[in-house]
Amino acid sequence: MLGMDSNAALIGKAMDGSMSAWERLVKRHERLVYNYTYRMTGHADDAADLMQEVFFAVFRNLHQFRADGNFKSWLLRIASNRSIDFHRRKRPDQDANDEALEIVVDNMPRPDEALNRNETRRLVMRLLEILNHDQRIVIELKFFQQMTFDDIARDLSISSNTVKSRFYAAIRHLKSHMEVADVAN
Amino acid sequence: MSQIEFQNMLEKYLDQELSKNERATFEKMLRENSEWAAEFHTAERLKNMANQWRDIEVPNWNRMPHSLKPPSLWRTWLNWLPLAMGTALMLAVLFNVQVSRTTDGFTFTFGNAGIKQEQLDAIEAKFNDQVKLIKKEHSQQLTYALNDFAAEQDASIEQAILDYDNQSRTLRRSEYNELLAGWRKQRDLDLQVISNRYHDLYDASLETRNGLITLAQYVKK
Repeated sequence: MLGMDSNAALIGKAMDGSMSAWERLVKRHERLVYNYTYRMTGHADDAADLMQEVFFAVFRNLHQFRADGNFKSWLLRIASNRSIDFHRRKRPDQDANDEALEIVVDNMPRPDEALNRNETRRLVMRLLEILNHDQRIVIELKFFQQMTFDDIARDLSISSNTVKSRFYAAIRHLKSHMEVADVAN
Repeated sequence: MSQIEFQNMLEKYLDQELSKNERATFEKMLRENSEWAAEFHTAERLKNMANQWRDIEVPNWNRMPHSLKPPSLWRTWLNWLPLAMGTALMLAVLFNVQVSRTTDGFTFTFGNAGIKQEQLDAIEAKFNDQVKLIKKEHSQQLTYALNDFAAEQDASIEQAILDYDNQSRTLRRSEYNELLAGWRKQRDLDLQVISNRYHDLYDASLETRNGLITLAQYVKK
């Protein structure tokens, strides 16, 4: 029954000093966080660094987690905030990478064309690279984490209107690139 | 249909909250506006790509970094060592700590320590002299002040007596003059009465003498 411990139970044990409980909690969520950070940074090394920062922040703030709360939601909130800090610190001048456009055009499949895993991943990463970090995080939370606009607004501590504004700006931005790619293909 | 309505429908679509009727309205909306249709297809393709995303395997990493482990006791003390040494050095400078080597070993002295007893005695004697001098000066100053005060008070009292005396004398002189004037007036009145009486008596005696003379002449005859 050890593997069936709830997140709250593992958190309680980790707070009591159980390192194995902490390790199990991390293993349970590291894939989610790593893929999130990978999409946010676009680099495996940066993603690993950011994931480590996220879990470090989680560890330090375990006492703030409410037992009746949603751990995944709380974890993503921390990941979002860490991601924003990481982006500001790491790549302050690399928003909206226009160089990615050419690669997107080259790799963009036709709408009816089926993609394999690697192609999908590569294309997603190229598309996300086009966006600035604010837009990227909204797209990530909306499509990959399937959150509502209100939840995204709460997690990012911004208004729902701001979230929608960033979302539609991202959509319009991507639309123009996809149209170029569709024409090229 | 407005842009806001389109966005509301798109949000509902993405959250899978469109009813059958709303879905039909939305599809009609997309057929009538190519711009909105393009935005919808972009969102739709992103959604599909997100669904097709297959998670990347997490690389090996240290889930228990050293910073998360409870630090050992000696490391805790070691962390405090620079701060403790810095504080000690600051205090040493602040309190002028000196270390001297004597025959008995090392001696730590603080502040002005290290001055010999004779010097301390001399300083104390000097201090006492100064205290005495100050006391003496203060005493003299106090005496002068008291004397000045007394002299001032005496002069003031003397002047007050003189003023009072002058006032009394003037008053008495005035009373005396009044009394003298009254007495003189009464004396004049009394003299007048006496004078009148004398004249009356003189006249009576004269009349008597004249009668006697007349009688004598008559007898002689």
